[in-house]
Amino acid sequence: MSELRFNELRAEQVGYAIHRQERTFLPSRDHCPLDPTRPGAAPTEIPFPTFEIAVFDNRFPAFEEPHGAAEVVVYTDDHDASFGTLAPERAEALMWVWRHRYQELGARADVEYVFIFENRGVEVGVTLHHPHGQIYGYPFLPPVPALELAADERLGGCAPCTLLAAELEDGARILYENAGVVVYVPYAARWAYEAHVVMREHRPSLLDCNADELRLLAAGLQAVVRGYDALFDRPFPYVMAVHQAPTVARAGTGSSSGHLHVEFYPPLRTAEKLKYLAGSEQGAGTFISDTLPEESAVALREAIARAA
Amino acid sequence: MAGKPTGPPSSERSSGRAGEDRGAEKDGLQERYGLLVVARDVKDDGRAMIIYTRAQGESQ
Repeated sequence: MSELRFNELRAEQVGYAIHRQERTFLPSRDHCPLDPTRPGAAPTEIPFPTFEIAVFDNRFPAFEEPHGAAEVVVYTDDHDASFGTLAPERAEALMWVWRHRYQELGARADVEYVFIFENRGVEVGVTLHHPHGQIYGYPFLPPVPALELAADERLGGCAPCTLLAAELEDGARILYENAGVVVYVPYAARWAYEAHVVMREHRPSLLDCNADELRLLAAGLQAVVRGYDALFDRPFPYVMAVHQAPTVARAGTGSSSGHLHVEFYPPLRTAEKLKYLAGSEQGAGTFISDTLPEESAVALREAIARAA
Repeated sequence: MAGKPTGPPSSERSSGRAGEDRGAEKDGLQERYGLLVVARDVKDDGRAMIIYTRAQGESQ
């Protein structure tokens, strides 16, 4: 069971899920728990010889009912694939899976925020290499989405809409565009190759997107990760974070707050060097970056074009 | 979002793009969600599992 404690100095919840200390850690290729179960072989998490996309409750949950949720989303039965190498049709199907999970988890009384994410690479703490993501259903509104809502208040409207308009006006940090999404390195990026994939239209959540927009979102996300892999010609580690509207009932606000966008936080600042969160970042909460977003955008834009 | 997500999204209700925009629907034992077939299962240890498969005719 997990426990939440409130850190008064940071005004934030801290979760304790000590059973996760025992979770599977970088198993050998032949013992991947996210592989399909082959005939005659030991059973894995997925008791079928083939599958397309599988979602199940995390065996080592950070949150669990009636105090939230933790799910694993396995993108494919191909152990050696990645989000970037999925066929476009599979990536599009994954958007529908995300949407379904957002709808079902978000309808639960014990889930106030549905957070879909992927950690890729040992550099960001991955313990299983099989291509997969996760979903946490938080029983509270976490600080980052809360800050985004506060930005709405500060800017007097939807902050992502405002920032998207500014990025399009400037143009220097735009990486990729299609009819549904715009991708850019944000003006005040924290990470050298941070990228945001933002819905062009105000869409609070995946539930507000039509089928075309979901397909175009998948295309934008795959363009980013394929560009990442092309940037230094190596598998590129990242955290992919899907931000959308909280699902907590906010009676009386009439709010449609939240704007679906996906943020990538890659720890590499060069092909070989990692950005560490050290004194200033951890102790003072201020990122110090070694690169300018405009310069990173040039390199990443070229990489995305090469990978297309 | 004013409250808990329920039912088909507003964009689906208003888009008029039947056949492309679908929310959840059930046809006998087969549950559909958009372009997906949804198969629910329970693992031996009681954890929930869902297998999603792209519906026939939805491939591009």
